Amino acid sequence: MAIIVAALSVALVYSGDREGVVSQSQHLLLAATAPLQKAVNVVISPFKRVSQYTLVIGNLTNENRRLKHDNIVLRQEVDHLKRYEAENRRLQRLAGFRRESQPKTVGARVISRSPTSWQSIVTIDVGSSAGVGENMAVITDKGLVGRTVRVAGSAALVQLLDDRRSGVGVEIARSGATGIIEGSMEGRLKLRFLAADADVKVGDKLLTSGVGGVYPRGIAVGAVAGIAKTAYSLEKNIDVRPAVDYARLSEVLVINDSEAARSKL
Amino acid sequence: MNVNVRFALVLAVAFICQAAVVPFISIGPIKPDIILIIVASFGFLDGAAPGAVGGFLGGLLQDLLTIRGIGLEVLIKTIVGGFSGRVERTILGNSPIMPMLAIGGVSIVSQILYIGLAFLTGERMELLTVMREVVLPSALYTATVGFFIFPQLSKILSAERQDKVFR
Repeated sequence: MAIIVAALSVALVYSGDREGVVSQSQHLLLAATAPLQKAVNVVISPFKRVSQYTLVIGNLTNENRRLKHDNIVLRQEVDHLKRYEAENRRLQRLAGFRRESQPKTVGARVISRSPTSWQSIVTIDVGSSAGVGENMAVITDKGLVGRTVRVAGSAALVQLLDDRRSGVGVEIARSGATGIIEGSMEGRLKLRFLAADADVKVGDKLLTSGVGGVYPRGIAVGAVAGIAKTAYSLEKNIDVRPAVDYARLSEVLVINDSEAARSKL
Repeated sequence: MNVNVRFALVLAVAFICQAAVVPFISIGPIKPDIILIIVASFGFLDGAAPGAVGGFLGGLLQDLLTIRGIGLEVLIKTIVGGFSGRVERTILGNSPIMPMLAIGGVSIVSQILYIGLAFLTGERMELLTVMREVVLPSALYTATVGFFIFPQLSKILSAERQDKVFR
């Protein structure tokens, strides 16, 4: 009996049913478990918030001082950027370029996280009824979070960038060299497929390259945290520090305007 | 109540806990595998064949929670359920520590199987880092949760076993 069950299991591994009964069951299950996850989130959130407040209250004075300083610096940067934007618009008009529009987004709250250790996903509280579909980019104010992989009526699963099956085309902001950031089983981001002679330094900012069509170009992904050259590999081993803290996600935006994403390619 | 019905109910509760509660009691990426605890306990208490069938059903439910195709957890949990059934019940004895150690061991076996199957499908990883940062902490967490769950499960299924003796 055990052998029959094991044989059935092996058959299932190789069945590769992506659109049939299994896929429909997974969608149904997402729709059924999302309200439960939402309810648990509602119960647990106040306790989590209290513990977080207790932890941060000691750092508020320092943080306030730092934020005031950042505010001054950012105001100056905004002034500079406004000047550049006006100049850029003028030059684009001269060159006859079509001005890129801001992509449309839908706001969402994270209501649950991955139920197992081997995948990095979150559940958000918007779905197809809010215009969210599969393979849409998900971002925060700090940068790229991931993409939607399964969508029900009022919930969707988002595969985070640090998931071991995740990958995104990026370019180094300083040098323009391109590569792919992949997640790993250890939950770390690695920059791969970079040309052997590519100009890369620790601290380099990494932005989405727009290649692949899922992620619009120019979204912050992270920064180079470490570079190591291994003895038996042609490739550099590059660690990436993500722009977004995936463990503390609470509100996200889903880019639900795929035309905008395509126009940026 | 029939043992199979009881097991199905316990598995359904475990599935709900895995889907709705476990994400909130995770320590970083480390999460306890409640379904594994149920499958392993069922194997310990009822033997290899029921353990394998329980593992098949538990794995099927767990696969439905993931974003990849179905089958990987089905295969692993089936093997783990059958393997757990091979553990002599007398070895577990009445000590609360032995089942906890056995569940921890089974958790390590199931995760090594997972890594092996992922490797066969072309995934590369830093094995020592994965063992240190994911496999061992997850096994410890699962074993700790199992320490509290196993005695309750044992009571539920033992009542059925006595019914069988009188039949």
